[in-house]
Parts: sequence; structure tokens; C-alpha cells
Amino acid sequence: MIRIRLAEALAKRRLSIVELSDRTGISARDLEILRDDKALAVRLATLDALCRALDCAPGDLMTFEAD
Amino acid sequence: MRLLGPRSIASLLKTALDVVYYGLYTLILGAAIAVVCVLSVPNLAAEVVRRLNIGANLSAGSQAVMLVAFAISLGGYLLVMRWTRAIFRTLADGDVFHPDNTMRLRSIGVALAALEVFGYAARAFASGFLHIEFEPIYGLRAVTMWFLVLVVFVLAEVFKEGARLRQEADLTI
Repeated sequence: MIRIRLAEALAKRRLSIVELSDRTGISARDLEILRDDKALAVRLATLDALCRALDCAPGDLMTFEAD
Repeated sequence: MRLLGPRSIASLLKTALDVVYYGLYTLILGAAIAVVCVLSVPNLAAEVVRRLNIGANLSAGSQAVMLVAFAISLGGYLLVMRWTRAIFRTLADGDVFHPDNTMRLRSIGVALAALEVFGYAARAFASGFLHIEFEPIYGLRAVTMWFLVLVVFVLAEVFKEGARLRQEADLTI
């Protein structure tokens, strides 16, 4: 399955969910869903906003883990 | 006409649902009182039979049994109305594709089917044991309830898919 590594990305940059929310315009609740790996799908616009705010590539935010 | 709010279709439906719901409560209460009256007041059963021109000489006990069967079927419709009102509340809350609505619709379908079967059993009992003759129902009218049950089960599946899509939309970030 695809895992979102948002918690690691935030820890690496010493950012909180609220700060990331301010930078991206994505609600803290939605970011928590992403962080907790509960999301079923991610829009390209969301990925774009996250990559811009965290200055990274999509591959840095996602990993594939075999079940 | 607006969907929600004052003077909307929804408010009219809500009023209709409330009237039917509390009307059913009143009818059940009336049936319960009638059972007590029939069993406790002498000659009331014979008088009611004469006035209603039923064409059968029913004893007080038989009338009480018929009234209890009537009250049970009303109880079934009351349950159906309760689930319908619960579904309607989710519509008013703007959350109509709530996962619970699938189960509510299935319950309504099962309850309607059970009421129809109960009706057959009550008619068979009344004509077999109490010798009451009912007017036979022919053609599409005889299967109207089964069409309704089918439609309700289809709607339940539609709501199940709707609830799944809603959850998917909620979890798409």
C-alpha cells in the first residue's frame, strides 16, 4: 500500500500541522487525515501544495509498502 | 419550491410524517381501548357486528383477536414510520447518505414484507376460523406491496453506494 510520510516530513522540518495548514491552505483536519494514513485518495492540487510548502518532490512524501 | 427550510417540500413532508406517526399512535391506543371494551362490556361485540354489517357472528374473543391483529399491523407501520422519520432527519441535517440509512431502508423493506405476510396470515385465520369473507384482490393490486418492497431494497443499495461515495469524498484530500 501507499503510505504518506507526512509525519516524518514535518518532524524533519520541525513544523506543526497548524503551521503547514497556514502555508498550504489545507485544513488541519485534512492534514491529520493524511498524517494518520486514513486518506483514500490525494488530489494532485493537494500534493502540489504540500510539495511547495515542504520544498520536496512527491516521491519524498510517499512510499510503497507491500502488504 | 425550496428543498429545505420553511414552506419547502421537506417541511411539508415532515408535517405529513409527524401527522401519520402520531396518528398511528392514536389508532393503536384506540385499538387497545377497543379490545378492553369488547372483552369487558357485555353485548358490545354483537352490537359492533350489527352496526358494521360484517356478516359474521363474531364473539367478543374473536373481535378482540381481530383488533389485536389490527394493532400489531399498526405497530409494524409505526416502526416503518419511525425509520422513515430517522431517514428524514438525516436529510434535514444535510447528511442523507449516512451509512445508517442503508440499514434503515433495509429494515423498512423487511418490515413491509413482514406486514404483507402477516396480512395474508390474518386473512387466512379470519376466513378459516372466524368465517369472515374478504373481498378478493386481483391483478396488480395484489402485488403492489411486493413492488414497494422491491423498490425499497433497491433504494437501500443506492444509499449504500451513496454512503460509500460520500466516505470516499470525505477521505479524498
